[in-house]
This record gives sequence, structure tokens and C-alpha cells, in this order.
Amino acid sequence: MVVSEALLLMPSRPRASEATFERLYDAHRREVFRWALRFGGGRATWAEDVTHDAFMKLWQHLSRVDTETDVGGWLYRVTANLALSRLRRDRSFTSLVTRFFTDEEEAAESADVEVTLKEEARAALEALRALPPREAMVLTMKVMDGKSQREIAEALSMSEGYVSKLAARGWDRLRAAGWEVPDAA
Amino acid sequence: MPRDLKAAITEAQERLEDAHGAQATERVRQRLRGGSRRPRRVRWGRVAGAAAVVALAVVVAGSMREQERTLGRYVVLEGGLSGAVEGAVLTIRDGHGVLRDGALGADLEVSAAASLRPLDDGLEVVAGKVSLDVDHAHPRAAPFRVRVSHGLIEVLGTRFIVVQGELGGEVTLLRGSIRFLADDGQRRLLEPGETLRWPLPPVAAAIEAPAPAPKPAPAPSTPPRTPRPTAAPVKEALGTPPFDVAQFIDELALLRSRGAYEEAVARLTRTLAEGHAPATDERLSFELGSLLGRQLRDAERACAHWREHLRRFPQGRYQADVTQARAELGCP
Repeated sequence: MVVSEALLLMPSRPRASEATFERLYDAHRREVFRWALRFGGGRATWAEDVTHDAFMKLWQHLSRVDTETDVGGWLYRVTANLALSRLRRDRSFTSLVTRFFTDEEEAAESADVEVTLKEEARAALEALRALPPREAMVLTMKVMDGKSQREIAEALSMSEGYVSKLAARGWDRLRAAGWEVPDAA
Repeated sequence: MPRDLKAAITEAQERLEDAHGAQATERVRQRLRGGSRRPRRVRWGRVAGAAAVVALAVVVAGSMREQERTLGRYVVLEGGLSGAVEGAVLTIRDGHGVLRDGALGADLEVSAAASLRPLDDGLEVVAGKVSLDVDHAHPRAAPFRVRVSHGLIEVLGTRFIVVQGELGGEVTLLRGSIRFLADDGQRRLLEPGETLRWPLPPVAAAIEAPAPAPKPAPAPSTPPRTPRPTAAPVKEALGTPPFDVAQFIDELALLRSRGAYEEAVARLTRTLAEGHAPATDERLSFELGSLLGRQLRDAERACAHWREHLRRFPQGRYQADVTQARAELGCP
């Protein structure tokens, strides 16, 4: 069983929901982690936190999920929004200080990444992480996930015009850094 | 030769997912089971090092001027700015950039012609445009405040833009929450996306002003299918609804994801009829039009809705998108 007694205290749920949640967790955990990994520019611990938060959201909304619900689509939207919030929060001074003084696991994993990835792949992740959060999210969803402008606008609650502007800005920055993204234009 | 970003990231993604995916999702399972967040250990070595650095900095600061570039009490974070401080007022003469108010935890994006005066609990925008990003977690003693010509903006942790002209100005809230306290005692709480202009109409005039235009008729031209019975949200049952837009949009997304478009239309129509802040209503109205046009492909209802939308929000934020949607639908 995935769900703890502590979680069960939040809303009152029948036990059948626990089985539903567990089934949904098993069905979607890998894809949610994959999206979060992309949105976070390859940071595994970061992606793990976003995955956790996305499934917490699912648990909170479980009573409204039924067999007709496109849970994968809903989780994608939730994961994208959680990731965007987190990317923006990461840039705050408080967050930087907290990470500097506390996060040993991040450093351990970064070291692991150093030996795992080729130079080009590492540089690509760094280029993506260097973008402003909204530009990074829009470009990732567009280029890596193949989402249309309209789908991105709906997922992130932005207008299509704004999505287009963010993509163009991000693309310009990446191009200036020497990157080519054939289907981003 | 440009490098292929997509190929490089795909390779990185696959390697990282292979290396971390199974273990990470298993750890998430354990955390969900335990109801706890990922533990973080304190790096005591860094804490001690930082303490030593701070002590050293205090000594050095006492004996020499700081080397970082500053304008008054603000540190220039990025951009090429030039400005001058005269009589406690900082005027940006040239360029565009970001200033950090470290003492109060706020970043100010400014450009040429903006003038501002630092205050103990915030700042006064004397003229021009300033975009603010205030860190709500900063341990300041009192709320961050922005003084403008006709009142005070009380910041509850957020991002917003202030434009101060000669006779009045406006503030647009992008994220978070702010409260405008007019000099005549009026108070307005803004929601994200909302713009407030000052001076506000006097209270007496506001009371005598005609009632706002009636809300659009809630009934669509064809009755919606019988909605799936759902439990009313607790806040509605209790009759204490501070309307939560984000929560409502989440619920709409859930309805969309299972194809319950008519139910989503009905929820939106009901919520719009309740009446909320103009920015919220505009957002919800835009969602309703999108549902009618794009998901339900009901051109008749969608065109009627977009016509009403443009009447209610003639200078709206989604004008370009609405125009495009109407063109796609072939609206008259």
C-alpha cells in the first residue's frame, strides 16, 4: 500500500481509493518522473521532488478521477505547473541559501551525472537550465514533448501569443549559445 | 556548426532515466507511504565556513568601501544601468536592468526615466515603470509597501508592475497578492492578472455609479447534458467561498481530461454568473469560449460567447487569441 495513515487523515477516503491510487501510481510514475527530469534540466533529486508533489496532487483530487479521466494528460499538466513553480522558486535568494547549506544528495547526484553524461549532453542540459524558467518550460514542452502552442498555453494557463513570445525568446538565447533545434521554429 | 539540442538532451534524458528512474520513483513511493518530504542534511562545514566569511566581511566592510556596483541602497544585479541619486530620489538615466533591495528582499526591474525613493518598508515610485518581484519568504518586519501618487500598495509576496504617470498610475499584479490602500481610505485587493488604476473614483461617486452591466445569460442555446453528479466542494457547502481560481482551473482540467466538456461549460457558466473580480471573469470567460469553440466545436454558441466576451472585455488580455478563435470559427 502506498498511502500512509498521515495522508489518509487529510481527506476522508474509502480504502478502495488507496488501491486506485496505487494502481495509478504504478501506471504513471515513470512518465511523471521522465517529464520532471526534463523540466528540471536533468536534476534527478529535483525531479523526484516534483514527482512526489504531482502524486500528492493526484491524491488530493482522487475523488474526482474516474475511468473516463485522462489521468496521464492531467498529470502532465500538473507536473508542468509544479515544475514551473519550482523553477521560479529555485531562483529566490532564500532557496539558494537553503540548498547551499543543506542539500548533500544533490551534490552526490551531480557528481554521478558528471561521469555518466557526455560533454555535449551535459552542455545541453546546462543551456536549458540557464534559460529563464518560463522559457525553459515552453521550449522543453515544445521541443522535447512535441506539444503544440495551444496545448502549452492550456497547460500553463497562458495565452498562445505569450507562449509564442516565450518560445521565440528562448530559441534566440539557445541559438546565440550555438544550439540548433530543428523543429522549434 | 550548431549543435543539436534535442538529440543531446534526449541522450542525457535516457541515461539519467536509466540511472535514476526506478530508484527515484521507489523513493517517492516510500515518501508517500511515510507522508514525509525528502530529508535534507545540514552541511555543518559550509555553515561554519559561511560564519567565518560573514565575520571577515564585517571586518572588511568596516575598513573599505564595498566593491559591488550599487545605486543608492540598491545593488545592480544585471543590465547596464546608469542613474543618479539626488535628494534621496534615484533616477535611472540610461539603460535597463534589475536592482536588488537586499534589506527588504525585493528585485526591481527598471529602465530609463524611472524615479524611485527608497523607504524604510519599501519604496515610492515617483515616476515611470517599475516591475517588482518581492520575496514573500523574506523575514522583513512589516509588509513591503510601495507608495504611489494616490495611495499605497501593500505587498503580500508577489510579482507586479507599477507605472506612475504625472496625474495617476496603475499596478498590474502578475503573481501573488497585493492590496491597494488609497489615500482616501479605500482598499482594493488585487488578483493575479488584474490591473488597478489610480486615482480611484471617490467613494460617493462609486456608490452612486450605475450598477455594472448584467452578466451574460447563463443558459446556453442548447441545454447541457445531464451533468455527472458530483459532490459540491466543501467551501460551497459551508457557504464561505473565497474563490480559488487555481483550484477551479485544476478542476476544469480534470473535466477536460475526461472529455466532460458540457459539464465544464456548465461549471464555468455558473461560476461566471456568480461574478468575481474582472480579471478572473475575463480568464473564465476565455476558458468558456475555448471550450465551446475548440473542444465542443459548437460554432454557434462559441461565436455568441466571443461576441459577449468582446463586449465585456473590449481591451482584454486575450484579444489576439479571441480574434484568432473567431476567425477559425468563421464568426460573423
